[in-house]
Amino acid sequence: MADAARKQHTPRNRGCHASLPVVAWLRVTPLDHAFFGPNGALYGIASGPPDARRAVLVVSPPGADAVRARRVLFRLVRALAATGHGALLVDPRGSGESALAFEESSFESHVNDVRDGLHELARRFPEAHQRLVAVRYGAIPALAAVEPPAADALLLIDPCLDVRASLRQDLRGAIPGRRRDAREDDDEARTATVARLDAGQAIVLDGERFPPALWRGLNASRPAVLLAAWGARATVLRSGPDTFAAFHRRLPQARVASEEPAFQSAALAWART
Amino acid sequence: MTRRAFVVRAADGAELVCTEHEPAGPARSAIVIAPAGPLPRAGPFRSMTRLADLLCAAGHRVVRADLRGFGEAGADVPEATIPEHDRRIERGLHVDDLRAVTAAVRDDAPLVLFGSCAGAVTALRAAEGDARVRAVVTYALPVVLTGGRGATLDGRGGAGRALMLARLGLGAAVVRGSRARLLPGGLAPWLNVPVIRALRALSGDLPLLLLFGGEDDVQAQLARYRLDRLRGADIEELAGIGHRFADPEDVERVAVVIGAWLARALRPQP
Repeated sequence: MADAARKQHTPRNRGCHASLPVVAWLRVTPLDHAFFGPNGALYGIASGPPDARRAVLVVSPPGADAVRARRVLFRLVRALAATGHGALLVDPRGSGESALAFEESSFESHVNDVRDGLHELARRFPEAHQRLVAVRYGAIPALAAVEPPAADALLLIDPCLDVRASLRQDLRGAIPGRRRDAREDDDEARTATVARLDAGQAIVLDGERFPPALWRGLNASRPAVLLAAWGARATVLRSGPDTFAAFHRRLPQARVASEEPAFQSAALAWART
Repeated sequence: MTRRAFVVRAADGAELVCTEHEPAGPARSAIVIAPAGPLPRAGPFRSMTRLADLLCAAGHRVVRADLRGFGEAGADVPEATIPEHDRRIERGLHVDDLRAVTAAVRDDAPLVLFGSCAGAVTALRAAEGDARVRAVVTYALPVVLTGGRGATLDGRGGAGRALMLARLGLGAAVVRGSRARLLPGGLAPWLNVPVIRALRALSGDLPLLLLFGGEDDVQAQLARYRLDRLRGADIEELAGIGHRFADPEDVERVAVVIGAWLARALRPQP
């Protein structure tokens, strides 16, 4: 079966890559941009040698964060493959290129999408030990989707483990009509917005309707317990504006958009160890 | 409706990654969407994905593309601020890439280009000289480069600044007085001359819809240089929408307007 899977994924069998370029000793593996999973609803970018011993699933963060982080996570997949790892970036449904609008997604759909991503990772890299990277609101679904030893290690980037506090933070400045100096008004407006979500109404955050079904699941989960199960296998990376500007909004003069070398080297170091 | 991903090679071999939204039946048109500035093909707050889904549900084939330096495309671009990236795109960074994508779209349905903000510049310029393009739709088309005069004056002080201000003032007067028929590049370096030329060349030649948000101010640039009365160009303002149409309801309104306009513009002439 391993041979069959390897044969299926040799570059020769991929439409747009006729040959495998070789740069010194390093194999430069092509990128495969494809839809997969149930009804082809999930989008992913895969790369790396089919016989890789270690493979990393990078789960794209839900919502508008997926747009901000795209280039950085895409480059991470490329860099992981270049260092000999298998890598797959998956967009959960409702995010990035995958099917559904964000408001149609739920906690369960996010958890299932992480599991489907891991299945796809195993199909593409059948000999590899699996690792997982999840970002911001994607952290809790990742924790709920898989427990050790099903995966070797987990890297959480800026995880929103206290979702209520994270949402309040993200709503800062997102509510129209607030006065800059009226901190109390802003606080009340954010409380009212979160209350609407608690009552099952969608709210608009960053141009996307935040789905109440996702909110309910995130709130009902116990991330501390789930994280404890990983013990030393879990790593939490707090990025900050200097290392991952993509997530730090309202920085029009920040030098962003194409490279995040500090973040990338931290993630690659994690993948190596 | 189905989606598929495919890769197109730019002239220099860079990979351009696209998502195609394929309607259930024969397509009414094939719409290629240029990325809205330095962003992946999903667009600001995933608005282009939503727009593509809505247009596809209305029977259009839609292709969204990642062009060089952004999203999943090959060929990295130098690190820069967002306004600097915007200016590069407005100066034509993505024009040839978008042409490579449109050349790869195989469909007998009429080919339409769409772009928003800096992507509007890309779409308009890519349409110029491409006989396959049957219509162009833009949203928030800027004819002045991002940052405008501010960028031109950056780093200047004293007499140099005063001299530059005088040159810019003369340039603005020439452009306004000639209704943008005279485009003195040296005197008006903030002006996007190639896009104004493309606008003039295309208007009257093929259907052109220029959409603007009612809460935006970018359309004031068109009026200032008398580009708001071009023959054959339809200009429409959508009340209550800003420079970006990010909110879901706004995307739905834009999709409805584009769909209705295309139905009229692409109707076979008797």
